[in-house]
Amino acid sequence: MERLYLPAIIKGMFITFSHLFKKAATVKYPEQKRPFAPVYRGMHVLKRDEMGRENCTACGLCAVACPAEAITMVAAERKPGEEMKFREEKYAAVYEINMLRCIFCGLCEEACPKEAIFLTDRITPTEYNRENFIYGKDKLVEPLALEQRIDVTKRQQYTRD
Amino acid sequence: MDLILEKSILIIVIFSITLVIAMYSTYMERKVAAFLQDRIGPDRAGPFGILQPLADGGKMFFKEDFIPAKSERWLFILGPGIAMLTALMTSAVIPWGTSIEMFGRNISLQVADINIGILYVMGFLSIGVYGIMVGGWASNNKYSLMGAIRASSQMISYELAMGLSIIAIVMMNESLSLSVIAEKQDSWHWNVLYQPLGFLIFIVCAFAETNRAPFDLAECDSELIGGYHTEYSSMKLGFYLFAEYINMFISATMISTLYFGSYNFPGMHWVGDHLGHNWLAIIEVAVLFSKIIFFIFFFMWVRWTLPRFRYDQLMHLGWKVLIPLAIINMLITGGWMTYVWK
Amino acid sequence: MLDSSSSSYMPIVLQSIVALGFVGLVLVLVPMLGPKSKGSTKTDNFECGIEAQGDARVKFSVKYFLTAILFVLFDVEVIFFYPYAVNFKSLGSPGFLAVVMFVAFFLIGFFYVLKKGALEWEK
Repeated sequence: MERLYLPAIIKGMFITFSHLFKKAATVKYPEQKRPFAPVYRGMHVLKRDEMGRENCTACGLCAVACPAEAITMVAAERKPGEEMKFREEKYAAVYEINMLRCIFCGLCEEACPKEAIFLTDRITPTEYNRENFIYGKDKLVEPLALEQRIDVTKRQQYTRD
Repeated sequence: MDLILEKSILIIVIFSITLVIAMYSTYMERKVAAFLQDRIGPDRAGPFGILQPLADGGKMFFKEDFIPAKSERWLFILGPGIAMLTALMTSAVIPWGTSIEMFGRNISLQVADINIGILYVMGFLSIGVYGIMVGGWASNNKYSLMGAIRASSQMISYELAMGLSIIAIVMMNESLSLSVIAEKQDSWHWNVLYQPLGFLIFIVCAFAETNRAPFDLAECDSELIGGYHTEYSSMKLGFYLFAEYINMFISATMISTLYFGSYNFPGMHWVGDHLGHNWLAIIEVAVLFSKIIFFIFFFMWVRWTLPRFRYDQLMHLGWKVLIPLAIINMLITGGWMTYVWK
Repeated sequence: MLDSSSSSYMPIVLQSIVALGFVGLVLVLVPMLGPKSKGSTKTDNFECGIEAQGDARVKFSVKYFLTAILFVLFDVEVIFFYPYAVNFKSLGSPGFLAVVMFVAFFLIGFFYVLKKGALEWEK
């Protein structure tokens, strides 16, 4: 009875063997990357306008829209000397996103009335502690220098609809 | 004293080679599995992932080692110890080559040339079942116990067929000693040509004994969580997994030694006459290791091709198919040698 | 032929010392290397995440016991074959016929076990 299975086993083993010589389907990340969609939802960014002023006014709509309750903020009033830093009289003194809670759904991006928060195609880097994953304004607001600004024109098309 | 020194050095060399081969079997398993599945295996730890086993070993060493509250402490520690011990001791009687002449002495490449070689190996194989049984019992966990009982039932059922299939070879060579069996498989007179059925039975039993390939019910992840090694962590688990790979190495060695001509290869007398005795011994060791590596690859090849046996199919195969076949094999060999081939 | 003198077993003693030393050393030293943390749930037995119920000392099926007993019986038979196999050539034809009868007795027993169903269900 056992012999009846042997030819099938041997045939099967030759099929497996032939796979040794076929090309592997692996993509060797990070040397090779697969292309992302133009509206890929990765790490967040708090944008500035053309004059370098922060767009965010701490209205809290993104925090309300977030299904995972990942966003928290503390609002503050703009002092007289800070007109070039913040666009309107209210700004976010503390703005924190807990990246571990975030599900990268993009509802905050859709909810924002000031086009302040967008998701980019950057991937959140790894950390060893849970505390390091609560990103404050230092990691979220984009840099002042013009070359380092993040391009979100394709996403703005979607949010303006 | 010289003899003790000579043997100690040989033992330490063979030990190190066994451990290194077992370590790199884990690497080879992952790479072979990957290539057979159209992907590449580990390739980040060093070029082509060569340092991966070191990373795995390091991880095993530095994990936390805890003993579950309700378990039997000493038996818990003893289980993997037995498994590892029996795996390491079986390599003592295997002839790795003929002999090397160095420093004016004839150093034989076999640690212990006892005249009951095969019985020694089968004996240690049987004790190996204790390692699993003790581990499962000492864990005090229903699932571990079930897994351990099933695994040990499987192992003892296939031990019978294994012992029976070797008897035909012992009949042919009239000695239980492995060095005699290796010597008699001169050039191309490998035992597989004389005992194809025995070879088939032995290799199926070898798969079942090492709890591998299609017979790996004892440790399959989806059925009994981890089976008998669920409750283990760190080095104790490392010992169980490592003992499995060492057992696989020893099974491959036994298959090569008993059926595939051990260190012999066609043309060895020509090499011996032209290159001298020492070179012949070195080439013989290389030939044996290439056969062993081929069989280890064969083990992995079968593992990633065949689906797992169900437990009752496994027992049916062991008791109702292999034992009668092995007995018939023995009777045919005996009858042939007595009446036909004087 | 090879003698079974005690000196040829000495390397096995050596190997067992090396093996025991290695196993003992690792089992003693390695637990000291890892971190140790106290936790009550951690040391509980693993039962797929549910609360463990009762002890593990439950009765298990008698089929496994039967397998073990049958293994002992047939292993004794195999043990008797080994000395016969070593002296096979010198025993010649009458020896072979004696062994055939021996095997026949065991096969009768095997068929009895088979028909009685001791090797059924699980096996």
